[in-house]
Amino acid sequence: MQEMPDFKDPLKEQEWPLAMAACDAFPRHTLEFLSAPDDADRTVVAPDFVFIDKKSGERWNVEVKRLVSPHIRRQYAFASRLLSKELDEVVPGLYTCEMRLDSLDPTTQLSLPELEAVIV
Amino acid sequence: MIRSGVRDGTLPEHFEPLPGYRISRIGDDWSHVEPWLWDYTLEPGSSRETDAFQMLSSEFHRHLDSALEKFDAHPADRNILIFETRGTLLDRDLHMLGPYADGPGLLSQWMSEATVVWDARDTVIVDPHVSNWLDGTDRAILMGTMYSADEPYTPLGTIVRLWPGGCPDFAGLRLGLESLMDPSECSCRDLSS
Repeated sequence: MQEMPDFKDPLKEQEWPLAMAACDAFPRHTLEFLSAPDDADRTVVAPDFVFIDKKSGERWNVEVKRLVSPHIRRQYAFASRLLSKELDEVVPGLYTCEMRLDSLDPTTQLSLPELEAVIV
Repeated sequence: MIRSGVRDGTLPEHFEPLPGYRISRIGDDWSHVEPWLWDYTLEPGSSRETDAFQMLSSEFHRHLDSALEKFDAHPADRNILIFETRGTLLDRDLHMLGPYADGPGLLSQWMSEATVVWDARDTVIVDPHVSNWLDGTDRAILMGTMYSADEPYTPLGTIVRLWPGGCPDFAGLRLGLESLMDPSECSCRDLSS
């Protein structure tokens, strides 16, 4: 497993293991990280990572896409941060907390008062 | 309610403190909570589920176009596009679990609708990132929907190939599609001979 380069863009840290998994899916090729655009604004139109095949010298573009609605991702991050902060080392056992969202409605939001009521 | 339940020792295995919120204990070994978001009004096979899949399909094709734009701007010998499905309907229930799940088939169907611009240099794959927990009932709980807190991120499922370009020795599931690249055409074979 290659060590992850230092990236300024935090999304790159999430995408890196996926890119590694993709590289592992081609066992006859030894792919080594070559480059990646690393701007937090993501204004550069370029693949997320470029690897080089150590044997052939061929360049491999690797692009990672997350197939999830942005509003669901935002609400998930919100709930995750809040619950992790409030419940760390409080709850014995592993629990799931299920919260309903309308995946078709981009304006749907979790309620902070409701979340706090669930916790307290 | 969680804090008071812990304080009083009355935290149940399953409870719904408010409408739309359900909390279930599924393990004893850790002290950890992971929120799991889903739209329970989307019953399998319902018209709303179809609408949600349509939305995901639009996102899928938008991502395909975006990836092509990047690949065209920076030509390389091979292009790998990988989709991650966490937090979508494709990870719900059995949509992405196992080789007979219908999620990969659905994605493959979407892929087949946009094949004209992809060639033998390209491989499009999907990482079904789910793990399966049983909560004591017949219902399966899917974990692994963390994003920012998921460090390090570890792909859990078997990678599925949606578009069969690139090295024919792809290690994941292939959905029965024939490889577009003949083994003799791949650089790994050229160099080993």
